[in-house]
Amino acid sequence: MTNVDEKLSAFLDGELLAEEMQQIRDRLAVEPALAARLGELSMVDQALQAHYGEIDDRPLPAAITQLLASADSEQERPSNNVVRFPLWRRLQAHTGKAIAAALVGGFALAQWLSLPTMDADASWQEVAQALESTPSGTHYTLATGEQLTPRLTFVNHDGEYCRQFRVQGDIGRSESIACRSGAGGQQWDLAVRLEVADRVSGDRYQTASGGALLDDTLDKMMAGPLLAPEDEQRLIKQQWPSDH
Amino acid sequence: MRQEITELLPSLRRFAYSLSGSAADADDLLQSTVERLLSRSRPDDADITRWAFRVCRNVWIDECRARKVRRDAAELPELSEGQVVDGDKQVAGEIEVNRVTQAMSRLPEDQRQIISLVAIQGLSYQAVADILSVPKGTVMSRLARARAALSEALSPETTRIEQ
Repeated sequence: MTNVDEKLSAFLDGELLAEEMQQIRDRLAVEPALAARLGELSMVDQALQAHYGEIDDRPLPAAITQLLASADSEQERPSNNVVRFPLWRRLQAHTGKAIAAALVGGFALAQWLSLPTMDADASWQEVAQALESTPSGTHYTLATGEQLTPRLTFVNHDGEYCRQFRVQGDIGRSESIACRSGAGGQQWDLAVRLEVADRVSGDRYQTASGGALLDDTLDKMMAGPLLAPEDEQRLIKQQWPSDH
Repeated sequence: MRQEITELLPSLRRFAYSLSGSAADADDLLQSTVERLLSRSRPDDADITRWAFRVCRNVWIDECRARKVRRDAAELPELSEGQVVDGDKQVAGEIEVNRVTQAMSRLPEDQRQIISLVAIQGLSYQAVADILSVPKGTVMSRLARARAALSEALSPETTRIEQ
């Protein structure tokens, strides 16, 4: 156990001061050994959760259910199999853990790093313009005839504004997340894009899951709750100031 | 009150499991905890979650003390399950003891409680400090020690095949 372990451990739980969190993030980016150590420590949490979560599958002893029986008549008892909402919907961002999960996953981080930068692309300029000015839930028609619909807005772990949006065309649809990380927080950069291929299954997916396809990614990226519509309006008016 | 306890039950159960190291002991501990929660009035200012975890931990400590008095219990909590000592069964049990259970059982009690509350329950350091009545800094350092020790114990290189 070292002092570094203590810092990494607290980082994992999002329990360091904001500037200390940033220092660790900066170091993680350039020190592979540190990132590996963080991965090791976060694996411990995964192992514990997996192991001790197993008891959920055992039926509760009757004696305990009887003790609490009067609650049953008042209201339906929540079972252990309740489907949990994704982390970001529970609005409890456990910031560090999400980052560590991405590091452990490895591929997730690599995937983000290898994304093409599209800012030179004229069509991306138009998408960026749409993100700049369109409130969530309203449509913006691109020059290609495709329809862009922002779904939600949030702040990521780097303190940048990000938006999830859908682009619906004739033959397919994509779900993406872009963040204001380009040009010192002045430009929208694509963070993640997911193509939903053909129309037939696209229609089916749309009703079934819609933007939920990116829920896991949102879990990793979000540093807090979603922005309320009025906050979003304010940002659109103020042209997304980076000094929030 | 019953409703609130019922909602907390899955979390308390996992906590009990991590403290006791065996599912059967965990349910005994859970039952005693629920009985105690129902029989005592909750302190007015207490957050139900923190109070419930504190009670569960106290029941566990009492239980441990009682066991120590009853017999000079084995070091490993999962081996103290059941009174029947059948040589063959005990050996079989030892072999099947999960790596996680084994690693956890080697942690000092306070570290085990802390890592369980943070890593399994996702509680904040402050909440854990309140539950265990220790300073927040202590939570932070003991937690790091526990994570480092478990990481060492669970890493593939150090995994041993028990005889």
